[in-house]
Amino acid sequence: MQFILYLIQKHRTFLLFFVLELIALFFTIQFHSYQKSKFINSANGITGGLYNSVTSFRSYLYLEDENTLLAKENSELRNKLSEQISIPVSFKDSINGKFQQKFQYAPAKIINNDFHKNNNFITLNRGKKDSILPDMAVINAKGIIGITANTSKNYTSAISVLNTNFKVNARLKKANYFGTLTWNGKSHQEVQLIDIPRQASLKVGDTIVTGGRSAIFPEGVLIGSVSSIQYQNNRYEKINVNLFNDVRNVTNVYIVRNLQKEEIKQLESKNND
Amino acid sequence: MTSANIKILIRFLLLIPLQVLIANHMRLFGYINPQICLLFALWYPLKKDISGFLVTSFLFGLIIDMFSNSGGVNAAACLLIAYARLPILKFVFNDRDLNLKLFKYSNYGTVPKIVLIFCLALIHQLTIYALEYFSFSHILSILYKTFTNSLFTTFVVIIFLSIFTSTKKQ
Repeated sequence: MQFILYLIQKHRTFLLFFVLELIALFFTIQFHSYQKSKFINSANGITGGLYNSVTSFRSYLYLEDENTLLAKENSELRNKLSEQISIPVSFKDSINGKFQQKFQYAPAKIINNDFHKNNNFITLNRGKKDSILPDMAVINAKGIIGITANTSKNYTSAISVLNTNFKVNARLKKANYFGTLTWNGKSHQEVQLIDIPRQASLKVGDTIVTGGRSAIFPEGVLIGSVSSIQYQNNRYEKINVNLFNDVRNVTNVYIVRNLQKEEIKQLESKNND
Repeated sequence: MTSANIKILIRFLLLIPLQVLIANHMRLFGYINPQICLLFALWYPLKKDISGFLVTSFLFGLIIDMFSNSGGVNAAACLLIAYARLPILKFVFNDRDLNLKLFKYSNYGTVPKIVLIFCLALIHQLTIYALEYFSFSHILSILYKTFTNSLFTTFVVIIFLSIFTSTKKQ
């Protein structure tokens, strides 16, 4: 017994180092297996608060660009509104009356944005207080940005589209062929589209939008345009998609809440039983 | 609290914002960020008993992890360089009986200092990238990023070290 105590005493620095290193590795592995780390995330009060105060200072520099972007989006939305009014009355009634509203949009601001790593995250200035929950879509006028992961009272961290663990159901705008959108960790302009069926006819320049098969993203949110296609062994090997968004340079976004998500999930879990 | 501890606390509180708010947003060529947090390990007073140093380095790394959403990657890296600092120091400065109390960076030439920082940066970066990618298939890009990032880190850290280290001779 004395000998063991002596050994511990003698190697206590190494033991301390070893135990701390194990804790760090535990956090790392937990993080890799499950992207929503409970403690180590930037959504807590200290990190979020610091990022927020720095961003509020920095956002003055980009006010003009943001204003133009918002004005452009406003005009697009007005155009859409005027399209709606031209729909025949009976049809319009059916849209407003019988169908429930499915998505809710809340404005948010990006206060920290990574894009140089393999698994990039975004921190947003909205949290549980604004009823933001994990697994909500983050988009802006030009396209998709990410999916919320952790929320605290005032802040949210979101998995960026530039994250190797990011996956979303996507389809061609012109035809109903579905695939999955992923990122290979290389360029911050390009994401990859996989699992597109081989009968789909694809051209460079085709627009890719989100498919309606995920309970997170609304259908038809813009993603990007096809930039190169690798066609081998009679199937699509790799399709590179140029993002419409420059994810490095985004400030104002919307968080989208799917009001029927619980219902969809409940229904799907019944199928699995 | 002694004045040495207060100095450590101030460095702790200054280097973290410097790293996460400025250095992590440099992104030279898209991915190179200087790891200014190495300065924390370099400036920490040399002592025989390093348990306090290990714990503070671990916490230092963990807070950087919180800011950059990276699990425990930085904590592991900072802890490792804290543990490896003294052996590397002795090896690089070629001084087996290093006087821990009288040690000063200004007593040594620039070349060994660069070698020391580069060694520490290499260990630090290799740990970070290896744990971040967490796969053997990316080994080439891990090594490439480690090397280029360490070069730039050494360059930035040596400038900081020469600006903020007192040059008064005893």
